[in-house]
Amino acid sequence: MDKKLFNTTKYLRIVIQIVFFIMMPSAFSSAFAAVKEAAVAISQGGELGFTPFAKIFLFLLAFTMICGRFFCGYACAFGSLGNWIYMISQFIQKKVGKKLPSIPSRTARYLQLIKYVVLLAIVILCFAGFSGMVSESSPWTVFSLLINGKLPTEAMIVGAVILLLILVGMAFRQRFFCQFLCPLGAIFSLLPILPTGRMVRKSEGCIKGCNLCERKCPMDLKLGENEWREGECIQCRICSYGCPKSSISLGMIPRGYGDIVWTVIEAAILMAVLKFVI
Amino acid sequence: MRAFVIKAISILIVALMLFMYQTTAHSYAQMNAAVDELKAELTKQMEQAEANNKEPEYKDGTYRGSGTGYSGELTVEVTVKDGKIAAIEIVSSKDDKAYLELASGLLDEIMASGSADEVAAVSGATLSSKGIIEAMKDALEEAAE
Ligand code: SF4
Ligand code: SF4
Ligand code: SF4
Repeated sequence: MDKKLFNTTKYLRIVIQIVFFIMMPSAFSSAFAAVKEAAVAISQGGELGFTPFAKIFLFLLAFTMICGRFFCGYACAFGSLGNWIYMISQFIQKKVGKKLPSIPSRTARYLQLIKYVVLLAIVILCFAGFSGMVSESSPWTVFSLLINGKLPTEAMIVGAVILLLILVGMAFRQRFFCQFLCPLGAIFSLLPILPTGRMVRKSEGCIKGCNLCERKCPMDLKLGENEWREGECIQCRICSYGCPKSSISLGMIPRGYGDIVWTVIEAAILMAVLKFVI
Repeated sequence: MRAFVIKAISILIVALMLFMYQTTAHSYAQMNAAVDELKAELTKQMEQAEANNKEPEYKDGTYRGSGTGYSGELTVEVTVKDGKIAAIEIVSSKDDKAYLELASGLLDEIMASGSADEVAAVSGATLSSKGIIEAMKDALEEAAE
């Protein structure tokens, strides 16, 4: 493992995440709003509008199919929040000298299925005419209010409680929400991702007993084990930079500084389109 | 590779279904818009017809009104009976008889519609017509009070 490369990419990622957090803290909820909007429109027999929400959503779908879930790994404010809370929690755990109990990988894999139930439930509720209720009890609504410096109203108490629980969960596990609950993540993980956006692992050269890539993966992925689960990968590249044998890389991009340049380009494309084109 | 192909096919199916839904919904919306337009047109026409049919309520009695004809003042006398115009007579006018006769076609029109608001001047006797219309409005205004 190249320590310098590892650290460079780690800080690069934090910088990109902060920039996106400040510039577009609600891109994820805008994108998902398109799904709710469509469910409501179809339930009323109306036309699907080409609204700004729909544009963001469709663009992210296309982007994700080509580049993988780069949006999740680097740009989504809620995902970043999960990273940061976990970082702080780890720091405190180290200082205090006590460890929080962790969820075993096996259990986590089953819990990951919850997000499809969440997605289905939201779509069904919107279809049945409860879209107002969904928005009100959504933790995302409360989150966007808070980062805009506003307090949630009393009607959003459910959303506020859920948000609090999610924040606690994030302290236990990196990407708690993304792994188990995010309905947008559920859609992303079902997309066919082209080879250009997939992490490839050459396991022939693996050190015996090493499972660092799996242990470090925020989504509990064991690359090359089950193709169906690879939609969970959020392109964070931690496995790639952490592997002592350098045997994991992104698609056709050479691992190392070429990949760093590509990361910056991906971020720039995402920023440019979301901010200035749509 | 297998997962990729299956996912790709599924997403194509979803996209196709949404596309088909959208085309149907679009033509449906267009049809609805056309129907709405027709409905609006019909209501408008019906309202107009109703307004035309509605006879303004006049009080019974005889009323006089005056206007300015071709060569000076023109007076009409209207008789209202049972709330409707029963007779109109040009009482005095300085206009030529020929013009007055030409314009007096208006009187029947006014009797029929019950108001002098929407009758047009008879061409060839425009000024006399205008005088009559003006005088009728004047008289009916009084009758309507
Ligand atoms: S899974 Fe959801 S919350 Fe997590 S980064 Fe992706 S869109 Fe954001
Ligand atoms: S650690 Fe690797 S496999 Fe896991 S999410 Fe990050 S890039 Fe994907
Ligand atoms: S970190 Fe690298 S060497 Fe270790 S198991 Fe993963 S791919 Fe193999």
